[in-house]
Amino acid sequence: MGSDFLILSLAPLLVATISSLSCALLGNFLVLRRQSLIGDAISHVALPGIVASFLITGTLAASAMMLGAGVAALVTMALIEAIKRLGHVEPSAAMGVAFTAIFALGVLMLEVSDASGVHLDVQHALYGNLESLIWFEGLHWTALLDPAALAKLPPQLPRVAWVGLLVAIFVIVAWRPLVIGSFDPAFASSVRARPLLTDIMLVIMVAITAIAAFEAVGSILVIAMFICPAASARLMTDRLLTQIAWSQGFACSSAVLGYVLAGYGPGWFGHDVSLSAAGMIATVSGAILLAACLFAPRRHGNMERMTTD
Amino acid sequence: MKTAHAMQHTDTTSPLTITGLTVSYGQKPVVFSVDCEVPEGSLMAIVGPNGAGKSTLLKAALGIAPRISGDIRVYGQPYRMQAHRLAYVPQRSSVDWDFPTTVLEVVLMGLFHTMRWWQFTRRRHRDKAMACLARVGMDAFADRQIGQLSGGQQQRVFLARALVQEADLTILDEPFAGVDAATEKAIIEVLKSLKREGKTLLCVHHDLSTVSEYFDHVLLLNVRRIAMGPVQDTFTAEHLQQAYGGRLNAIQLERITHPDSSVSQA
Repeated sequence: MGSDFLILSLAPLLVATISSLSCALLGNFLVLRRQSLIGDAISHVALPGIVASFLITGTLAASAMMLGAGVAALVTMALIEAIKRLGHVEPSAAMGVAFTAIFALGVLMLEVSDASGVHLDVQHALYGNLESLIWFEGLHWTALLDPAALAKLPPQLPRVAWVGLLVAIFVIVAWRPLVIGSFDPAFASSVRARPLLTDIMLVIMVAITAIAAFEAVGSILVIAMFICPAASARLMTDRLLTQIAWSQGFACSSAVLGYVLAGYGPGWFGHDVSLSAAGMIATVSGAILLAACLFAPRRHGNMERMTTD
Repeated sequence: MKTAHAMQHTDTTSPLTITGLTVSYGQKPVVFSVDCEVPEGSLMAIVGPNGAGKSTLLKAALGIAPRISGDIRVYGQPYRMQAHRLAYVPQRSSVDWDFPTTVLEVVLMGLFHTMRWWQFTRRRHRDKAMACLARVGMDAFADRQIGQLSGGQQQRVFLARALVQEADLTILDEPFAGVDAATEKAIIEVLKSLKREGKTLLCVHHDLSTVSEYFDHVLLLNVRRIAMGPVQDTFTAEHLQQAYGGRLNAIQLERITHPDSSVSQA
């Protein structure tokens, strides 16, 4: 049992939890800026970015993929701005048009190229592949203390861990500009809190996080990790720090609960199968959001304000 | 003597000098070739009809809205070098009041210049913010979520955030829009006391009937600059007709420009 867990479940569980935590941390700011769709857009354009980087470099090295997806994210942001300005289209429509078109282009590129032969198939890109993160060296608990065995952990795990650390550092260092720019961009500009730079940095961080989480949970489900915990947390409190704490709690519990339910849930009902962990994690975070909408203390915020006016 | 001194002063270091400012969204200019020099120590209104470019003029001057041409000097230097001497109060409706933050935290945002990213807010920061809240009569609301405030209370919190910046020049966009009478009185008292301290204030203002009572200088704007100067010389029926394109009738004009005699007119 112990070694089963170490071999099959430890790495996917940690990757899911860490990705979920870093996505949710940034998600708080996306929700407050009413930019939830940006997370969606970026996670979608990561696909064409990765395919393009494969076509150009011919490798699936993590750094090349990250770079490709990062460039794709920035190009998409620029394209959205251009459509908004030149076409006089409202922001969400511009975003919707830009990212679906680029995503579709990515799917076509994937089919035409040889990339589909080498692990980069469409289904994994869309739905992720947590279950494949097997740690062959995890035969016994002592492996956790053995550097040689730890070095053989799936490379996705250290990758999401580094990205998680980077996201945490970004939020701490950029805290004031992030908060001021989210609340009052015009004021932020007047005190030279650099709202535009903060915006761009946030988009880049979202892109990096989405790409790191991409392999694990897929590009479609990563949006649930960005938005659901933060949106649920917003309904729990009227304090930003408390909201972030709630979002981290929700992110962690949906990752763990989702993974366990997908792996063992069907067994409890006598079915000898397991479900997609990524799908279950997204479903659980959706269920948490639903529960928050129904029962959370701050869901009537607007009504309260109307009555005190 | 006093005027001569003031004149000399504005020549060198006017708090805000705008030269040839043009702003355009699409084909039509919103602000066209406007020159404006705000005299030091003045309480100045920007007045004009809807769509005259009043807010846009301010935003472009502060670099928030893009400008096509024009030179902006704050105390004789580019804005970025003098940003710490300036406080900006955006329109109340421009922000999301559902944001999960408290009144005190909003006021503390005004200390952005003085704090580094690793610094926590300390007792002295909070004391300063509380003093500014007390000045606008909002100290009892420090721990409230901002969404629970009325429009007038929100505006006072914005003013407190500007006060904590201890700026020499404060720029306010429609501070009296949609506020109750008590708040309007409280705000104008604070603005006048700032003026007495020698600070300069520039205010987009909508209500023509209070211009003479509240302000000492006025800029009449309708895309172009119509007139600018001390209220008694500039805020005339003729200039108002030009700015508002004949949309005001004679009785309205008389009431606006001579508020004291309005009773006999009515």
